[in-house]
Amino acid sequence: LENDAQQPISVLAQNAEFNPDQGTAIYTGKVEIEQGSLRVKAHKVTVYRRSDGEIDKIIAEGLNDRVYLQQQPKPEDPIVKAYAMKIDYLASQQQVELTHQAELENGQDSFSGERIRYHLQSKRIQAWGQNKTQNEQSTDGRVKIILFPGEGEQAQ
Amino acid sequence: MLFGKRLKKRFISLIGLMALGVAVHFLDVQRPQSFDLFSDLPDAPSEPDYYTVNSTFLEYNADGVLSRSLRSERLLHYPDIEETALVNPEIISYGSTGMPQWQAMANSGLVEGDGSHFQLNQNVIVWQISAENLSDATIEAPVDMQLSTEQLNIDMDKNQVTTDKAIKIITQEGMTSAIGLFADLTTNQITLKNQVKSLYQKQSLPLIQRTNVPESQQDK
Repeated sequence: LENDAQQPISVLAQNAEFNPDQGTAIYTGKVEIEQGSLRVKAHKVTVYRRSDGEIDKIIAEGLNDRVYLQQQPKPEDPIVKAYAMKIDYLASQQQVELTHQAELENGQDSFSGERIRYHLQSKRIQAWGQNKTQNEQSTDGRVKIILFPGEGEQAQ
Repeated sequence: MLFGKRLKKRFISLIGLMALGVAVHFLDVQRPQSFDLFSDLPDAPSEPDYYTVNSTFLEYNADGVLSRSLRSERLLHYPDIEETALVNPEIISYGSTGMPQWQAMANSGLVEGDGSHFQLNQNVIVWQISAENLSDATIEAPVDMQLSTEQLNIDMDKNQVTTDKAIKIITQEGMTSAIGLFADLTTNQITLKNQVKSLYQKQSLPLIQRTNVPESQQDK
């Protein structure tokens, strides 16, 4: 939601390591994060803080399973769901970067590729496929997008 | 008459003696009895050789800079088992500049033989104040971090603290609870062992009286 960024962030995990001097907190083991309508589930989450104490970015990493993230941009919007082996949440830019086995579902529309950037406020989506070096499994490696026509267009 | 006078004298001296006896008994009752002072402490398997009331021990490093202070309401030393029992202890560890690095207090404590291993029990609170917060402060300094638990083991030589109990940490940026902790108070690295819950939300922390810094250190 629009005021998600102003909400407190709650984190649950099996264990954690804090390095106040470096401004980092590393949570590992069944990590769950909540901030307003934003939800993240991951194996490991690292929280980076600026010198003024504000959160700069959060990096969530999967282990066997991919990281899962969901958020509802507006009350009337469908929930956006995202999956990737690594998800970076950049607080100040209100932007999420999905890396490796990235997939994003926005209602019925879906995007998948090697890397996806999603702007939480503007809902703008950028996606990149695998470059030659990354394309080990000789899959197509290109971005895959499935867009469903809106209701108005479906009726024609 | 003679007999009357003598009897009167004897009677007065008897009254005097009784009054003296009452006065001595009254004073004796007022004087803190050693067993009263420590009747609330668990029975120790050996005899104490000394005790102190409202004492402060100051320890200085080789350069003559205050490194540690231990304040306690009551302290009882047991030579045979090389332990010291403390009531309401307050420990302050000073950094190389002689400013308090962190402070800890509790309802009771135990010091093992060499004096560098403490165990604090019940209502254990540890505060940490950064150097800049303290040097800017005139009367009070905002605490950077407050840790609370029910039992804490402190290794003063390594400046490390550990516990297997539930802990709660409050900083300016938020609050975290967990079960079990290891913290290195020199590198400020904190490891939380189980059931970690963090809430990132601005918190207001207590202020520490700057008077905890002995005058000799304050004007440095």
